[in-house]
Amino acid sequence: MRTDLETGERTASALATGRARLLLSGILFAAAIVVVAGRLIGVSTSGAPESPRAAGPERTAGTDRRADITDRNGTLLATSLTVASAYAVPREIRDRVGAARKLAGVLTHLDPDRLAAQLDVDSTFVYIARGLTPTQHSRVLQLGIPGIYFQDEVRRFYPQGRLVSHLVGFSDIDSRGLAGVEQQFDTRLASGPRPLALSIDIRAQHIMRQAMASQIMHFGALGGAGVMLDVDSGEVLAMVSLPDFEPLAAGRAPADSRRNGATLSTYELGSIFKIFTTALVLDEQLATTATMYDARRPLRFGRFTIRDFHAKERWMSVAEILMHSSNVGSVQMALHAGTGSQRRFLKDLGLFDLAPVELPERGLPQVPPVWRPINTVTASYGHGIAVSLLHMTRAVSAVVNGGILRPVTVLRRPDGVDPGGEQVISPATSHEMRKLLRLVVEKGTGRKGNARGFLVGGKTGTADKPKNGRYNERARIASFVAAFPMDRPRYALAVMIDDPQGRQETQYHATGGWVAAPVVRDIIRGTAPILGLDPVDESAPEIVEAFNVELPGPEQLEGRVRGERVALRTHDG
Amino acid sequence: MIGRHVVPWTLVIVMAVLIYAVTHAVNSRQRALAQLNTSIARDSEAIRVLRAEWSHLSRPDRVQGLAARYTGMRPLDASQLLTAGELPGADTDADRPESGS
Repeated sequence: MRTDLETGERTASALATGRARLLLSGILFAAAIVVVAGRLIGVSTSGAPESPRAAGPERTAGTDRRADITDRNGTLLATSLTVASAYAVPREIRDRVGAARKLAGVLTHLDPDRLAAQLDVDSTFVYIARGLTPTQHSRVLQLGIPGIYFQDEVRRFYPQGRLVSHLVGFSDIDSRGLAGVEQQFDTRLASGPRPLALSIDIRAQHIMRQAMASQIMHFGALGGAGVMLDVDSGEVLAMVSLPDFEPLAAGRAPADSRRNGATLSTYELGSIFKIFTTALVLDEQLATTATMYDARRPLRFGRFTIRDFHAKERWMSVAEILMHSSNVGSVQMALHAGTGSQRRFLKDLGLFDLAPVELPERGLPQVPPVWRPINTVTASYGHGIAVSLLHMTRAVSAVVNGGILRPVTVLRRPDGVDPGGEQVISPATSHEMRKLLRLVVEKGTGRKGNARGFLVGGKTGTADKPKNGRYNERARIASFVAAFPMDRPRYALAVMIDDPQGRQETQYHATGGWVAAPVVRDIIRGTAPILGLDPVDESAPEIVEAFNVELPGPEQLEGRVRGERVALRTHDG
Repeated sequence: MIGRHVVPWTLVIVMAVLIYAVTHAVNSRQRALAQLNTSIARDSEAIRVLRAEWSHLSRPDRVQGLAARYTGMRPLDASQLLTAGELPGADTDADRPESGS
């Protein structure tokens, strides 16, 4: 029994021990499962650690990316693209010379010896090449050199190449604007991705550039410049300066090519200025288009003798003086108006100050510091005063648009915004000037500028280039300024060809009428349909009537030739 | 005693499961979002490149060269532009309603 009892006690104690062990291990397992489960929940709920700061589209697409530049129709002129740049951590490269040789084998513009020298420093960062093409990028990757890494960089590209090089300008490797719109609007472009729309139309720009380039080549000229403005809004529709440059390689372009010949360079533009001399006497109501001036013989002022190229040697009406581009007649008109009012008139037309346009390259007109009577004489036919082609186009816009001088802009103006401006001549004078400029193209020196159907009016200019303080008769500036359509002008443009050489088919002439006028005609022919202008029948009776200018008949001339005199002041005061 | 705790415990378990499911769903959405953002960034960069390429390939001088080479088209001349009234056979009465003619 006892043994039974003992046996029973032993069994009970063994059971208790077993139970305790079971409980303990059960608790341990349960705890382990709880830990695992907790960790599982923790892991799956805490989520991917990168997701809270995951790149939003705005970050990688770049709020800090420089804004695009477009033309008035949204065509891309400048944009920023991401490119890869390769850099090295020299410490991590074992065989630096070998690495340099391999890299130079792929990136052919690098010199292996110089690269090896660059890598042979104990630094952690050396640029190998910036702005790789995708092909170069993958080839460097394939080399698999340890210690070579890539970083994304933003680079500026100019898809239209040379076409708008002077206007858009260019920027450096870190996308800082160095010229043109890129420089002028640097802060605005750097401040956000909103594109900047310019006023130019690349179709008009191309037509102008091509017409000028082929004429420059044809006449063996040094270069040229052209500007086209909307006469009502002051917007620049096209602006060309030749020679031009590739914006991506601007640093290697000669300084001559980088110079904006349309806004920065100033020229004595010659006979184009007769437009202003004519407008002056009409606006001061000193004369009508029929008033006669004495152009019978050359005029002498000290050492200057002013003569006409194709002298009529008779009295000429205001209309004839402009039509035949008479120097003598223009001088007489300027002397009639007087030095003071001529000077004030040219200043009112904005020809003495910097042109109001958003470009860093603006040329200050060269004006005589003291305006003597001889300056009045030479300025009447465009010598002794040098302005940019932009000044000229803007002033002519004011002459034809009803007399309002507008500020010029390279940005697209929103519709319905008043551009502002100043009334500088009366609408009546402007009306008469439109008829006279039309007359020059219909019957005068500007006949080669006539783009039939678009009622072109304009004026030729041929000026000897000043060299070492003297005029060089062998080197000339040939120019033509025009506006169209003359019944209600919309656009004005000026083209200047630098030092054209006469050719046989032009009878060795290299004048504005022979060289620049055909360029303007081609530009108008090409752009007018694009700009939505309908051609008109120029021989329609109502148009002939509207542009009719009375020229003096034989009777009037007869009287003058017999020596009838008109009292003219020959000097101011 | 068990009966008194059944409801709270059930609630706790249901809530735990719900929270787990929601958190899990949010996380997977976040991962999808990050992926989408990456691909948007990649696509918009590709679009920028394509726009630049389009602008480069549609340069007026290039288009003009191609047109001259393949189409024989030339710049428009003013004489080619007519108003509707100038068309041959154009009848100025055509605009008016037929009036018993």
